[in-house]
Amino acid sequence: MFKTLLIKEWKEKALVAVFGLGLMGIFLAAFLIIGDDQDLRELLPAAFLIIFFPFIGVMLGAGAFESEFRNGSWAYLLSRPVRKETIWLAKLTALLSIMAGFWLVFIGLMAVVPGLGEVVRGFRWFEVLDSGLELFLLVLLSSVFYFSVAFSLSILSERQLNLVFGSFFIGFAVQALLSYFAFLADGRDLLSNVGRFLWLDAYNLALVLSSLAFLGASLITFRKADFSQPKKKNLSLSKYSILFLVLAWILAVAWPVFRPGPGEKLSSQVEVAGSEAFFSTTRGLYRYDLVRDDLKKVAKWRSQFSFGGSFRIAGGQVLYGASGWNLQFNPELHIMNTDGSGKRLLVGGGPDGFPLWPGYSHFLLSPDGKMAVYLTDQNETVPGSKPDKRMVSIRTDGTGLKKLPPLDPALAGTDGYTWIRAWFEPSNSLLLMVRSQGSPWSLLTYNLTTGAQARLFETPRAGELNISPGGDKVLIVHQPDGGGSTDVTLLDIASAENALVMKIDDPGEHSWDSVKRSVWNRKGDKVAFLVRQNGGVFSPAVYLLKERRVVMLNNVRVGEDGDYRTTLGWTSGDTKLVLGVPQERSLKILDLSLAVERAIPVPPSIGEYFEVCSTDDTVLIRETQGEAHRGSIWRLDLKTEKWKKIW
Amino acid sequence: MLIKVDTKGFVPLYEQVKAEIRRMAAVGAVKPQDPLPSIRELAAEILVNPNTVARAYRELEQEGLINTQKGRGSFLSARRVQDMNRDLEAHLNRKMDEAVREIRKFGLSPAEVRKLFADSLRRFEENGRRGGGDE
Amino acid sequence: MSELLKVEKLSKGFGGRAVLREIGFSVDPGKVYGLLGRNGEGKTTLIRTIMGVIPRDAGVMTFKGRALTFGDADYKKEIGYIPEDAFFYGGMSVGGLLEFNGRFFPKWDARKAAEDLKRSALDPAAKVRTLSRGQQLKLAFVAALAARPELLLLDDPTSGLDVPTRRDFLRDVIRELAAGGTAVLFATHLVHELERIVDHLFILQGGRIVLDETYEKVKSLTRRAVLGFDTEPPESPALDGVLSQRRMGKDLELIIYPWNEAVEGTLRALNAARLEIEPLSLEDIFTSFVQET
Repeated sequence: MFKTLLIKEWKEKALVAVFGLGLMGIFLAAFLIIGDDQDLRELLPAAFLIIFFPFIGVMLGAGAFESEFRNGSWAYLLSRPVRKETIWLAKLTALLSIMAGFWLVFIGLMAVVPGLGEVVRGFRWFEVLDSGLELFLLVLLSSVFYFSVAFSLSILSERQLNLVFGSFFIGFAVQALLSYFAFLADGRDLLSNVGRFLWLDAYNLALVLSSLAFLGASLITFRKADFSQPKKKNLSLSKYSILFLVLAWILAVAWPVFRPGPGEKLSSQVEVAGSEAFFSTTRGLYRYDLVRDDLKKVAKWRSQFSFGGSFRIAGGQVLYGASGWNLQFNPELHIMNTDGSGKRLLVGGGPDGFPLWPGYSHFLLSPDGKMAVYLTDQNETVPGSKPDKRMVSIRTDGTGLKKLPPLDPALAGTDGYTWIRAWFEPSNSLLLMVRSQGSPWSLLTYNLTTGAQARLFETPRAGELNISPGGDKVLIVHQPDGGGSTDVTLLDIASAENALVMKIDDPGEHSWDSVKRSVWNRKGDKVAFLVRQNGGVFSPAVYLLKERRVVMLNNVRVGEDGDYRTTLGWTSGDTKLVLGVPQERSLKILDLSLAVERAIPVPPSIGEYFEVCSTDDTVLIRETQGEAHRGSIWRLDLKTEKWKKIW
Repeated sequence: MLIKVDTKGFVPLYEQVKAEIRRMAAVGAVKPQDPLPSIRELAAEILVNPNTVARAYRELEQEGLINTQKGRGSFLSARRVQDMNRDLEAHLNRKMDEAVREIRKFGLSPAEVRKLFADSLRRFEENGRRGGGDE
Repeated sequence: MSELLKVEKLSKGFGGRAVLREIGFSVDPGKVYGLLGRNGEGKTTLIRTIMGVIPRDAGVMTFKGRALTFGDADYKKEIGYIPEDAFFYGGMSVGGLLEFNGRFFPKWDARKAAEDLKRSALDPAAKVRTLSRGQQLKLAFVAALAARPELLLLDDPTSGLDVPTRRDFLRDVIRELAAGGTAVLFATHLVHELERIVDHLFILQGGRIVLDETYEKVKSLTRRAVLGFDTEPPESPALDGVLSQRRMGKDLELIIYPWNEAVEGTLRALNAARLEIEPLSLEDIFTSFVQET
């Protein structure tokens, strides 16, 4: 019976199908004739898409019940032994299939007609759309939407012209409303997301749900309809369509708000403090006790981003950034004890002084854990407030919020970036790295007590900056000539004196990457790093501060040229180095003369990229395969050479 | 089969059908062993409910005037001439009664009624045509 | 014998105006029912409601023992419906329409449809909209009957057609009746032809069934009594069942249902100069029932 009705509907709409195909043919001819006029080549398909598909959607929808009205065959159809739902569904299916046919023909044309596909894919209309295909999708959904409006209205009357006008009117009104909401949402940053305009997804979702709303209202009205009483039909349709429409919009708004965030993913920060390791994911902060082999989630958050929150540990406290629950991106700084107790909100939730971005270098704890310093408004505007590049300090008990005096423009330049790198306890100073356009990189001290600022070091091009565990020295990898050779310099913070540790002349493509992965030992009297030698081979090196010399084995190859995955760390009471060599899938243990003692293979389930994070007899490595990958943390017991996955 | 039924009168349709069949048997329009039209044919012809015809046939069969054989239809059964004459007489008497009743409505006296009949009879003889009601 | 169709307390109104008020009746298999009513009294509304074309406001409809809801479609397989006006898809061909129609009915007899079509001399290739009203009626009949329904619902299908066409239609109906036990509910205001085939009568007036009786009984129990008086006729005599009365000069005409001996006695006791008692045609009976007094 359904099939019979379906065929009948198709037969009745054959003319419309032919008409539509004819229009497409005209478009095709016009497109081919236009030839090389670039503007027209883009304009014509865009105009065709935007005009034809909604129009044909309305025409098909408006004609849904036209045959019954015109023939007076209502009573005939309704007195057949067939359910009204079947009748309704057959009409819907037939008409939608014709519309789908038009879409398929157009897609076919895109594939076959030279140039058409590229033009459509390359649409750059409206800044908000990433690609032409998004316009295509939007038009497709619009056409379905207009069809639904017309289809639902077609129950009410046989006057095609009235139906067409009415459908367009209502369709425009709804789309205008939705666009207004989307505009509001976008303007308030309500629904935007990194790299993707979420409001567009919500808009498309709203269109789809609105279409369903109209169709649902149409089905209910049709089922209940008394065709001898048109007013009742009008009432019923209006009632249900408004009801469902409101429902649809609530759902469409709820989805971006409540949709689950990215799955739990490991972020790149792993910190070890004593026998505890801390790492963060997109869902929270974890503490792992290396001695007791005990993992605990100490803080929960939901990150809107694909990376987790940053944190700093000092003086038994953990300071971490998280985002608030409400729609606006609202970063907050929280603080808690390292065992997870005493969680409290330190700063956030207001225009006054909350951090713009709780990134790793934007906040810091004092070594005793009693003070925190953070950056706010770094060259970007928080909605509602004036741009104000400031550092703010606050006691970790929540009191004493103080906006610190701004950086001296002579030292920091204007319009630059600031990173808070360390807290130098002896003078209660912050160690800041600043850089502005066209200026060299500068390392500044900022005295929190006196407000005095001084430049410690300056270099045209900085690579790594690694502060010793004691906070008194800084290992700086930089290129003093702006290119060409690479210097490794040791800077003493207190005296501001610096000494050259090593110079690498490696004029190659990657000269700025000649020294990397520096790691201090716990005492702060040795620092190990990787050096790329001639030929692109990476070798480990150790600088012994007391002896002021570098231990390095020449020509010991630990990595392929251009392979940057090797990492290192100290272990066994700082008497040995462990090298993570992903390309050989092993961990290599080296003694202080840099001879390889042993190589421990890495379990097969560990992927192609891992980093050495922690040292001592237990080595922690962090594994990741990229943004989509969950990541994992493993521990290796050096004595037993046993691996265990922790997270 | 030319049967007319009249919905105006008191007489139920099935009775009228029966009477008509009896009349036709009496005047020899249908002879013994002649087949009668099927219920369907007769009903369609005279435009009555087939049940009406069915009932008429059923009752005539009970009265013995017709025989119905499955698959072959209904037939007028063989009757003695006497019976047929008796039927005819009954039929004629009925006809007379109807005529008289009709005329009496106008309040004529019996003498006037008799005069009417005599005139009608004369007309019949004179013109060689049927008088009274149309057949 | 169980009822084929039963209707109880069926009510339907339009925009506040009640058209059917708590209608109740039943239809037995194989019988012919006449639904009489003046134009606009609600016959069409009643039949449309039974067919589920429009929803009822209240009441219960039962078909072969199963109660019906507005959305039910299965029971319609057993009903052949012919409404007053043509209601087919005009663009379909005669043959195409029959084929289309046949798909809905599991008991569709295509051979019968073909035979009936031939007998009705309709051209299968002709478009439905080119058929005359009489031809459309024939087509509707073929379509309805080929489905072998148990109930035929006829909503005044012959009104507006000439007498020969109506006679033809009646003949077709009778042929079908003779063929098998189809029940018929025949709504009409053209009473004359109905009279010949009807078993049972319903009269619909003022939104209610004011008469629900076998045809035989109605016929035998309705009388016209004409009393002629020498002087002025008396005012309405105290009598039950007077459907209508008329004064013509010195005569008083009464139409009475139901007739019984008591009524006759009362009338005779009026001592009229002239008393005539006659049966009535169904047309006259109907008129008397539905006339405004």
